[in-house]
Amino acid sequence: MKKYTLLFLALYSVNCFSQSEKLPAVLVNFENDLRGEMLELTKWGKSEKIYTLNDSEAKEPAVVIDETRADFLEIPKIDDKNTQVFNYRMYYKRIHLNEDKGVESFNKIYLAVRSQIDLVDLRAHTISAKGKISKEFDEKDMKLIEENGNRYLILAIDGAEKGGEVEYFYVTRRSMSEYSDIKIQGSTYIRNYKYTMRVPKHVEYLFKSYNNCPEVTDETKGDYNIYNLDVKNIPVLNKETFQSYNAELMRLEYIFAYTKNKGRVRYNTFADFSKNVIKNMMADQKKSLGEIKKLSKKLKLDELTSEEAKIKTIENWVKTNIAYSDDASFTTMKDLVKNKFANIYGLNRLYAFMFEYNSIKYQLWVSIDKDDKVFDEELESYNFLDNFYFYFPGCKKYLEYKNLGWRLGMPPSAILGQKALQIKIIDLGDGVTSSSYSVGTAETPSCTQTNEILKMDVKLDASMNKAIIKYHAEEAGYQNYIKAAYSVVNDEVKRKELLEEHIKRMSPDAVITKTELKNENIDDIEKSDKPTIIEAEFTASKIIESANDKTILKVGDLIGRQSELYSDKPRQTKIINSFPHMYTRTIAIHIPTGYNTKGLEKLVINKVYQNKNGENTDSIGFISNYKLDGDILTINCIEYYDCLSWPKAQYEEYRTVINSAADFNKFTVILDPKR
Amino acid sequence: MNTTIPMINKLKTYIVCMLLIASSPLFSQTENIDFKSLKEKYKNEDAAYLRDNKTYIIEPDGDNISIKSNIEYALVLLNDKAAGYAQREISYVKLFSSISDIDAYTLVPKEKGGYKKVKVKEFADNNNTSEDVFYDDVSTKTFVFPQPAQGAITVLKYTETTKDPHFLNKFYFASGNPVEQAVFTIKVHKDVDLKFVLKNPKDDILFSEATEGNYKIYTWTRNNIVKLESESSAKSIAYETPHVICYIASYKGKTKRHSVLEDTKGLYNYCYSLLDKGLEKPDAEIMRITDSLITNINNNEDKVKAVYNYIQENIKYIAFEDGLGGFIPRKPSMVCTRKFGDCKDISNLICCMLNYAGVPSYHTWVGTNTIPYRFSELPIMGVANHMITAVWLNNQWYFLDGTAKFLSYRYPSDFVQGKQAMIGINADSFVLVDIPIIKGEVNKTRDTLYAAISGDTIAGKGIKIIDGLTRCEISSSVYYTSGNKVNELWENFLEVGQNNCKIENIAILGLKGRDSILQFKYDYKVPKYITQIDNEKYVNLNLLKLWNSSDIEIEKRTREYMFDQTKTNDITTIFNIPKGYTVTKVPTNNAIDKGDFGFNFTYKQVGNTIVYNQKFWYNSLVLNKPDFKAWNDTIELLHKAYRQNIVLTEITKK
Repeated sequence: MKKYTLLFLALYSVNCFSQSEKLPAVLVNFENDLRGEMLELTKWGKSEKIYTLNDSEAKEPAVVIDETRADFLEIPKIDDKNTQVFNYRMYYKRIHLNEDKGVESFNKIYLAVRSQIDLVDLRAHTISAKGKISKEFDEKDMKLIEENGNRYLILAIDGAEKGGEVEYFYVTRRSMSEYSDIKIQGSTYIRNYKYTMRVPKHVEYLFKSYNNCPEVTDETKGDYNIYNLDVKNIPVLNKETFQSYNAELMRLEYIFAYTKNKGRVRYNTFADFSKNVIKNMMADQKKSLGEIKKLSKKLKLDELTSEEAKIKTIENWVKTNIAYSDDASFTTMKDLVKNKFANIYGLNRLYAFMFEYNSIKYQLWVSIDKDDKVFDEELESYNFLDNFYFYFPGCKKYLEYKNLGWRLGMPPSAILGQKALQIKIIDLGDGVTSSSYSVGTAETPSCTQTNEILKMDVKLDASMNKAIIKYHAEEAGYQNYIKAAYSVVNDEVKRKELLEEHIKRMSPDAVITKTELKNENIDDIEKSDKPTIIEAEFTASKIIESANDKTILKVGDLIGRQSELYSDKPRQTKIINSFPHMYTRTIAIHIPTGYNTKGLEKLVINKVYQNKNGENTDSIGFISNYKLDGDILTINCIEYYDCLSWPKAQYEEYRTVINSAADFNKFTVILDPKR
Repeated sequence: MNTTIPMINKLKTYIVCMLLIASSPLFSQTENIDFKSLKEKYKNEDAAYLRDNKTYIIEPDGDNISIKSNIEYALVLLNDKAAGYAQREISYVKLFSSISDIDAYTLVPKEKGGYKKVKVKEFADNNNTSEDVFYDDVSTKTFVFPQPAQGAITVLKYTETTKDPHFLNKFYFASGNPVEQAVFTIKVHKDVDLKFVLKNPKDDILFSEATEGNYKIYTWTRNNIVKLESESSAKSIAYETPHVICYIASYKGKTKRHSVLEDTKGLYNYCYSLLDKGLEKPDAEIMRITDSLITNINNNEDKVKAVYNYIQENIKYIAFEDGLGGFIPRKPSMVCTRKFGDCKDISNLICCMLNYAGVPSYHTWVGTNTIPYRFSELPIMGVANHMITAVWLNNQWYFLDGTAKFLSYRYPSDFVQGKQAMIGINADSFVLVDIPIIKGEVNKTRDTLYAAISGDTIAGKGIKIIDGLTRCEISSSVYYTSGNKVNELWENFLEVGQNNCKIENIAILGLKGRDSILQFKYDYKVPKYITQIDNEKYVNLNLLKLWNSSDIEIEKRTREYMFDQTKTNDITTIFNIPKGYTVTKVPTNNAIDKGDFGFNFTYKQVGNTIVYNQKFWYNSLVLNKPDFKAWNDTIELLHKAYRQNIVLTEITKK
């Protein structure tokens, strides 16, 4: 995890252990010293008997009977010189396989590793439904593979069958982590869960539990501080629509916090982080100045008067010229600009140096995607410092590094409603910088800033079998999809397809005769944050049905098929809305001469709700009505979600609004010949 | 460009695995290109290949054979957005080939003309596993070209040494980027009997043949190749894109002539020699299990059913392909204990159990529908990428696929329908048999909808009965859906009318039955479905709109459509005329028959009901370009039929 954070800190390691404190010189040998102690925490190999499940467990495809995880911090005897502390991490699991699906999920083991050396021990076997133990596998049976740039050791275990059990443990050795999280809950029911951390007693870790996880207990035993967690009967957390699944999972966070020598002064504080990040970021500033000057000149930044235009020009250049890759190593600014390839650390420096050189005031904001977890200021963990953004107090706008389809503007949706560490750079003169920090939240833009506007002008042809439609749509704010797509798609043919897809989302049988786009160029600094306007003309016939001499105009279909929230099941978690947004739709229908309209009264809907929480003014709603003016029938409809989350207790209201849009799909207008 | 073609990875097919680019020996470091005109020529492209070249050099080496290929490509970056092309990889299978002499560099344009050569210094070795495989031994060398600015040319040259003469690669005259020139050369010693064929030939591919001492030199050249466009539901590129397949029939070594892939028999012999390593007699456990399955069964058909069902229930499919192990099945005893295997492992176990049970069963090689070749035409390993079991029963062949969890023993997997199978009878003999295409009337879905209205709601009972390959597909999709989502899956699957439909009281029969029909009974309710004005109600009885969004954009579509299965649908809607209303308009009947496909809709008033019957059929696995117009005509008429409503008029009380 936290590869970006680690990258930032890489040059200025906070390895509190090896630098400021020495562990007692007890060198451990895994086989002789640790293996037994770790396995004692588990039930490995102790029972051939198949566990009996209770009624509710019997309904699950698989049940984790026991899961034990342990972290032991030790100095291993790798060679005589080693003084480095390692984390021996053990996982143990015994799973009862109730259904075929359970067998498919647990007959393979995947371990994420950095190299094969990471794995110091592994044993796995299955117990058949009749209680027979299979051949035992060990670490030598593992195969190393790479998928999407991550390396895994994999093993397919013999003999897994319905009614049987899989039991395995493995131990990895890795560098100690000073902060991490342990996700306890998941998609399989767990009967018994245990976690133990054992560290030398002059070291203290801080633990915090989230989402109904019990608190960790601690004790001192001999030379060690031991932390324990014991949880029973952990239910499955099912995935629901409009949910931040990861953020809702039962989990633990831990941090390396205190040592005896340093006393009650904490390690790994936000103050430490801010200081180190800035120190790292600015390290090569002087050396890079030549390259930065050259680039600023090339971009003619001094000819631009507004700060915002300068920032946009820099951002455009970086996003269209520098390919981002986690694998890129950072050498010098000159190489970065030449090779057009950078990791997050390189991007960060490039931006910061450009801003510094061009006297643009900025802050560095660091936070974590709100879908992953809620930023907990109180714990002060680096685990919440995952993604980096720039904030510009001058124009009050935000810059997201990596997203090519997103430019300077509103706060990135990942941090809406989420706290962030806000680091300000203080220039002490003579090229010396310092930093200060605070924790705060970006202001959430109202739903009107992400207002998707749709206007349609509908005429029927003489045969009354075809509708001729003039179409006008505006995509704004967080829903600027065409602009984002065009930023990475250059091919004119593909672009046209994208545009047609957009229209066919509304009218699947549209025969498009004309399209026009405005403000679609994300690199145009004048228009990058303006709504993209899509104009089109097309014909469609599926919206017209006949019944005797009457014509049924299915106007509701013109807004495109709306999804419905089906599930009547009780909601497990609160409703999450990625960003406040709204839809404003206007449909003007030319009533053909010689026809009356009927059935209009059903077009009136008014479903508006307020968050009853009391702490905020969030609201959601669906309002539609109509106006008949001569032979023009105009239908207006507004749907809005002015909130980031909505209480579980008011789930039905959220459903009502979502489903009202699906109900709108059913609207028909009857054209009845005048008699 | 080392594009790995996605494949159904049941058996190794390294021959189809890579589109390799190769090398002209005359390459010089000065690139003489007119960048401006290239940029104009490819104005919608980020990059284009200047060269895409490969040269095979094949010659005997003592009693072995030496197969080397020099590969070279040069890619010009046409704009600054092409920086993404800097990341590259070479993939290969260690057991079959090795990579050497890699020379990769960027030619960076200088301001005053000419290029500066900047070399790639770091190469990383990885084992990459294809997405749909648990493990295979494809290795990659990955690297990044430096300074990928507009106008730069990235050049990659390397040598691949093929270790096993059965595994030569194909050369495609096509790529995901346009190619200025592609040249495929084979330099082969006279003592090597090399065969080659150009598939999907095009007039613009120039072929030449020359002799140079003891060597023959064959060269194919193609210029100005437009890039490959992907289209949904299209055949794989091997069906349409020109490519050269070459293979070694035999060669004269120092002491004798070695036969490699001379003909279909030669191919079979090689395949069997690999298979043979995985054969064994049934062990005690296999005999015990088989005995328990066939107790009291006296006929072969029921034995097949029992054994195949046991395999489907108990042996999990995990694609685990390791070196030649990708071709040699694991022994049946091992697969039986492990309870998992890949296609050849499971088919080996099925053969072993069935033969023990007294049902003659045979190992069978087949290519899935991504492969266009037939064993009778091409004796190469790349004809097959899958293994199944063939059983002779009731005077016909049955094809059992051990990887298909819910398939009935009566049907082959849909992805091998119509393909030629190579059935291994014994070490010396085999038969080639075309696997049948399951007819549309077998893959049938029948819907019966009882419909009544109340206010603006239409509601009633629905029955859906599914048979043939379609039913297997549905059982499989529910199996891979997580528990809490299953109900949602059924609600979507059974949706009637429109998106606010409620489906309740679902009863399912035969979900795990394999050989039986699959039946759903449910209640549906669609509020706001009926339009009511004055004394009239309008009801659209097209509650299931099949093929509703299926028209083809004829001007755009360049390739034919492929379907997994043929299909027929039969929908009968029985609508209760509400009391107090009379039917004043029944829509007209509509029918169209275009041979392979069509529909027939009829309305009939029977007592106080309207019976609406809709039949749809599609009887081919391919919709060819010339048939697009007929298809669109069908869809147009279908839409017209879908737009008609029944009119109910309130009976005025006198």
